[in-house]
Amino acid sequence: MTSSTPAMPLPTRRRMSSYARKDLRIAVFLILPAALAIFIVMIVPLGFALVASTFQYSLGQEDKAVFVFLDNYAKFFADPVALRSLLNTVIFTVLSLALCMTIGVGISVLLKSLAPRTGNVFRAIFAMPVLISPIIVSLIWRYMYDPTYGLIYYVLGLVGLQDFGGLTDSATALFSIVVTDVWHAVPFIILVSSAGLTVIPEELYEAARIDGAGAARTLFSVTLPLLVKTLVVLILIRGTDAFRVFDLIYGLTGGGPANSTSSLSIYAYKQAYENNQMGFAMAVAVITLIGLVILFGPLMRNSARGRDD
Amino acid sequence: MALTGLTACSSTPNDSSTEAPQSDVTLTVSRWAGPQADAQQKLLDEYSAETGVTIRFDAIDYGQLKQKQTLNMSTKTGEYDLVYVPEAWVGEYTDAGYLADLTDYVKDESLTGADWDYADFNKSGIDVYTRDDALYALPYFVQTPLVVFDKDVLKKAGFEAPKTWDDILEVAKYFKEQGTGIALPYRQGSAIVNIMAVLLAGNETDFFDKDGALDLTNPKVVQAVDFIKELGQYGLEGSNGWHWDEVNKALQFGQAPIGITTSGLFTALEDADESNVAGKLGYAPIPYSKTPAGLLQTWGWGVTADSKNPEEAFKLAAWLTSKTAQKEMGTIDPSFISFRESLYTDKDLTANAPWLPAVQEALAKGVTVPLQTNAPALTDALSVGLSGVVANGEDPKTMLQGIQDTLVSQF
Repeated sequence: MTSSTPAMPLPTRRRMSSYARKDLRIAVFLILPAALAIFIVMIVPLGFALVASTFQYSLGQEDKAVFVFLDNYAKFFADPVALRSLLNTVIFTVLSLALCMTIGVGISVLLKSLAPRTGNVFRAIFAMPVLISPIIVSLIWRYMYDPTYGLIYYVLGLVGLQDFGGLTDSATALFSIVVTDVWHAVPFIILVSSAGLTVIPEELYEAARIDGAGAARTLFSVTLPLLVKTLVVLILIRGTDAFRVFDLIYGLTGGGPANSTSSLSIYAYKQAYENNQMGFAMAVAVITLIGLVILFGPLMRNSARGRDD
Repeated sequence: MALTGLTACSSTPNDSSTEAPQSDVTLTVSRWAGPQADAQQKLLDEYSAETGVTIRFDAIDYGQLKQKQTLNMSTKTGEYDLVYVPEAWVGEYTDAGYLADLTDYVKDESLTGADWDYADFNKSGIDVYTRDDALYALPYFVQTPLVVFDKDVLKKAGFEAPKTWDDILEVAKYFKEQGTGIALPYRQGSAIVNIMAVLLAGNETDFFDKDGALDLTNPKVVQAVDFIKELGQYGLEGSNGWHWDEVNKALQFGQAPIGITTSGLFTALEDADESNVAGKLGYAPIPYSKTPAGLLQTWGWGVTADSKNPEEAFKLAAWLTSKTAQKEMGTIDPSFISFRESLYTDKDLTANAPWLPAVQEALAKGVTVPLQTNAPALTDALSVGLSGVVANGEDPKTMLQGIQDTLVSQF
């Protein structure tokens, strides 16, 4: 039987020359090791975490694992401590990111207005905290926040604020940790945004001055729009770092008092190594990853877009 | 230190001082690479020299220790002969059949040596490693929290070593009014739960009732948490965020006249180069309501069920827990506290470890935190709840009722 439907014209496909096919094979061959490495190092652990999150098992007793499908995820959303940890993580991320970006970009803009040599000296001084590992930062600030012999309380005492709760009060502990994180992370913002500022053509500032633009107008109409790509990358790096915060909180409060500073990472760690619920901990890790994708996925896509996209 | 007299434990009697004994036995020992691991290695070398037994010492990080031990014992590789086991793992190990029953071994003088003296072990320590009347490990090392105080400062203020809840409240209140207070490890975490366990035992109660059901709303438990809260009011500023190490520092620098800290950190307090109060400190059990009590945070030596040389492994465990070897460990590291009753009053040891008599008094009624498989859920909930009580002033009874309601079905 013959069809009456007229044949659709097939898209014309240019035949590859034998040279092009050979090139393609070589390209695939050359890319393969890197692709394989990425698959083994990144995709396999993710797949393992996903699979493990559907089981209930203890560390060292994997042979007794019980398949529970999505029960671990349901358990997470039914646990008030887990939800508190999620909320704390979001609050921490938003506060830390907002303060880091405002202070960091603000300082780098100010430093740009100084003489180059003076600016470099201050930049080097301000960069120092970024060289310290987070766990050491937490130890330093644990003593700084100590009401008996800490510097913070000495200074607060001078202005009559010695009753500040600091790390030992549920109402102030999370904010106190944000302050520590900002101290640690702002230098990174200064360094990267300062690098971004160097590529803004000086002529644009000159033109703004000629047009009579003030400092604020210049900042919002020239500096920030031209710094936007750098800022997006900074928000991505700092935001994801803040969302995964573990060592600072672990060193400063261990998640207390009364879970007021427990983050998703702290919660996952406790489930894995204190409560010995590896499957549930994996589910928390996967939820953390999903949270990161929801919050920062769109930015990640936009940051990779070129001007012509 | 000479090891004369210990050769009864060895596989080949060392009757010649000129020839090294020969043995084709190789034992593999699994241990945490934490405190005392170096001193342990020294002793094991001495045992090897004494007996000719080759010892492979696998000291690894605490984080990997249980996983590695479990992996080896569950697959019955026979790789480990002797494993270092804390009290928290012994139930799981014995339920899984990983450990050999040592009940008959400890009665066999050909394995222990004539002067080993099983009766000298602290009974609480033996109980920790006993399941259904069978002994699964020899208790080796214990840590326990005590009250530490500056004797001169307390005496000047007219106080003696606090014994009861009322005593310590009076002392702490006095010093709080003087501008300091008592240093307490009240940070959310394990320390505050450890203290609660001791207070419950001191108030002749427990987390569980006689039938093993969760019993947190028992009035005696509520009383103990009320006491924790009241004592917290007289804590040195910042105590609500402190763990053992910060309490120790406050004592060590003389900022706190009194505090509750753990025995593993005592050496720093008595080191004249590091401490402002070395030689001035007194030690006492954590105050009680009805009877003195102490916490057992222990390590013991268990022989693996799949060991190819179980008797030789036991001989080594018996040797390591002998009075002489334990005294040597205590001499090398004063914070090493053995389960040997006779060593708590040994003058050579108490000269460097003045806390030993207080340890003996506390361990007369030694207790552990809950050790059931699902106990971490309880201890975690308690650490959070207690933190809420001391930091936010929450009501102890309400907090305990909440945990009871949430977890009662799990116990």
